[in-house]
Amino acid sequence: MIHILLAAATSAAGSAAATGHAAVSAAAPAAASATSAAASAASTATSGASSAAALSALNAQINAQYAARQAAFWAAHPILGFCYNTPMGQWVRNSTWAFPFLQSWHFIGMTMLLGVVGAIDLRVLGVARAVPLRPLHRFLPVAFVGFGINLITGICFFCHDPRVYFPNISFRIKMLLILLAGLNALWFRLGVFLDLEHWGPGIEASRLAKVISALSIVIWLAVITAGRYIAFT
Amino acid sequence: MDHLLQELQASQFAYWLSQGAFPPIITVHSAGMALLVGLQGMINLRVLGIGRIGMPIAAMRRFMRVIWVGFWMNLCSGVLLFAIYPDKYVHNTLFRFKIGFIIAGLVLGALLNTSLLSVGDEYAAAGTNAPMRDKALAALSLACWVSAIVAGRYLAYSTFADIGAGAG
Repeated sequence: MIHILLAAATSAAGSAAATGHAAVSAAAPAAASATSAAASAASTATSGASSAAALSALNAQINAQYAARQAAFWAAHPILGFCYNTPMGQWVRNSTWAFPFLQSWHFIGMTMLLGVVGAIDLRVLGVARAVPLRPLHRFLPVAFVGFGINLITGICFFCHDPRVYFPNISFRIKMLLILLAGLNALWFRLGVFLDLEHWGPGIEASRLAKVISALSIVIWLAVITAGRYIAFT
Repeated sequence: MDHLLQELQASQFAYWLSQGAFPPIITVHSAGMALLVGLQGMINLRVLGIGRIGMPIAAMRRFMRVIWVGFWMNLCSGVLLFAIYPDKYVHNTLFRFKIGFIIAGLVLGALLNTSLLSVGDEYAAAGTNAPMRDKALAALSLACWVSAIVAGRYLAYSTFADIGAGAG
């Protein structure tokens, strides 16, 4: 896959200069190190008639270096290697349509999760006060199903190429934020859940509940942002 | 029209957008989508009967304002996304499907609003069951918005089809 990305990046770099648009794809960050290595190696090659032979030699050298780096990576991270070789990972890698299919489900799950959690948080914060709070929590199974869909599709993405996700700082931040959101939900459950019965139509929630809910909205928005930035880190 | 779009694509504005503004724009687009489809989906699910206990249908009308906020967020960010690369979208069938699904979703939402949410006392009580016609509207609305999301995702990958899997 990296070879294809490398070829796409070099051809895109040529056309991007003409159109003036940045190559908006994950190929850019992944292949950037490879292209810069190739560029620096090529600049030291002799020009003229021997350049073709020199280039093919350089190509072999780069491929050998790449293979060595990959072997070192898999040796250092056996769990990631296991993820890479799962049937899920192989399916996503080999199928053209698997990625958009999984991404669609990832977005649908996100919508289910954030719709319910957002509605509850907004009601606690005072929006739509006519809605009683305790019945709103009956939608939580929808949120859990959405989270489950995202967990499964997320694992599929991760297994398709752990090399891309594992070192990615946005990915790590996103995982940390999801953990924080879970802790926040636990805090809500332990601290405030018993008071929900009292917050019927038109009744404001307590200050503690509002703090927890405001935090929840901020954390989940940050999760969305971190998720979108994975492709750009 | 094509000439206008060519100008837009080659303009300084589009180039500036494509340089650094792209990630924030798609982030706003995703957040707006979560608000819009998530809350509208909740209303649709309630009409279909999920979460019925203790929840009055008409009260959920109060979420409509937030739904509109999400819609405007997505309209504005969508226009900017279109402006960066109109060529990719203007003749694209998938894009037209997406816009079609969005318009259908809006119309169905408006129909649901007039028949259920904004009606006086009839659906103000907790736990009421919506009539079959409105349940059909809610199910269709849900299907339209989900289809819009799916069309949007496939649209993002339609130009990478020649590169292959895992392009995003």
